[in-house]
Amino acid sequence: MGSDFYISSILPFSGIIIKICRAYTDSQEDFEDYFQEVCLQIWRSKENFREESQWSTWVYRISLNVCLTLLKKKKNNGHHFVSDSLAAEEIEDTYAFADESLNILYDAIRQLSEIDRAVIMLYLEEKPYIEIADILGTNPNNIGVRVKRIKNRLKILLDGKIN
Amino acid sequence: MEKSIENVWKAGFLKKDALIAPKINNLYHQKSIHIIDKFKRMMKVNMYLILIFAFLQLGVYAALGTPIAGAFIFFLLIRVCWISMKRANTLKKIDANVSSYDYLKLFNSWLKMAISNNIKLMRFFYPLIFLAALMPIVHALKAEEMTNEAILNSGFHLIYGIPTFMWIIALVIAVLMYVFGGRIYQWDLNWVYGRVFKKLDELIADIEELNK
Repeated sequence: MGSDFYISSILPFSGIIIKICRAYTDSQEDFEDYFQEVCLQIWRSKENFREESQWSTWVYRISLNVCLTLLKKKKNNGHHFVSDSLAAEEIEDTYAFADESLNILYDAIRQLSEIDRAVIMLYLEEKPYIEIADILGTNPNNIGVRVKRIKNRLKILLDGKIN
Repeated sequence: MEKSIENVWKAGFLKKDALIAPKINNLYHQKSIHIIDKFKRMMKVNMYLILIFAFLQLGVYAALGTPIAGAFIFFLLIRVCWISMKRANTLKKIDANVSSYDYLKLFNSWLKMAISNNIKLMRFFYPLIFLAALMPIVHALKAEEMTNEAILNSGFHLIYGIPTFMWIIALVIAVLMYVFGGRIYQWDLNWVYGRVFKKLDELIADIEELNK
């Protein structure tokens, strides 16, 4: 991956990648693995980008696909990342956003199903339902109902934790 | 009052340092270790399979009435295993403490050297296995009264009770196997390890591109 491509096409969108990767990982090491894998896949698939959508939508799509694939691989094949072998206490203190409420919200998001995580993050990123549906390859009519259901679930999970 | 999730999200990411991208370093470290470990595992499994197969040959060929041919194939297969084991030991000498790229390159050169040596070996191995595998057929043709008599009455020139032209055909096939032994081995190798080789090449190409 050339550094020019990284600086011009990945770094400005790294926020998207970070937000998504955080929702699918529970340790700093896994997060870095996922982040790197997403960057690599964006670079590898850059030729397939046909400018039918925005570059950011493309980045969202690849980030979600990579995270879901890696998560599935990890579950099915017992694929181990280096962090799997680290003691939990080694991970705890390195993994946190500066904002405590955001950490609590992320903990709740991580308890959702994999697809619900994607839906709610795209919603929080203020993506229109039609774009969420496009990224996830689903029907836009269902997104609104789903978002409502996920928000209710998050409300239960966050009950009184964020003030 | 409880904040809405939308507000938590916005406020959280407004904070400084909330979105610092991790450095893309050591990108291929795990990948290279993973791929080489996979190759080593496959090589081990392959060796065990050859060993099991070698012992099976002893039994099968004895049952077919050609224990010497069985023992010969057994010896050839054990020899292949022994050579592979010796090669695998040299693999351990590759320094894993170098960078991923150097590690992959060292592994790749080891692999090329091993393949080139194996090609020389397999040129002899395939024809010998083929000729040994013919022995139960020769034995069956001779042991069966009807076929034996038919051969004897055929008027063909015979060597060891088998028409000479059949020996010549077998010999020609064996010579062809010697000539194309390298290609047969490459095909055999790609069938077993093809995907790993492809991944290895891709990984090296990726790192080279990254280093540009």
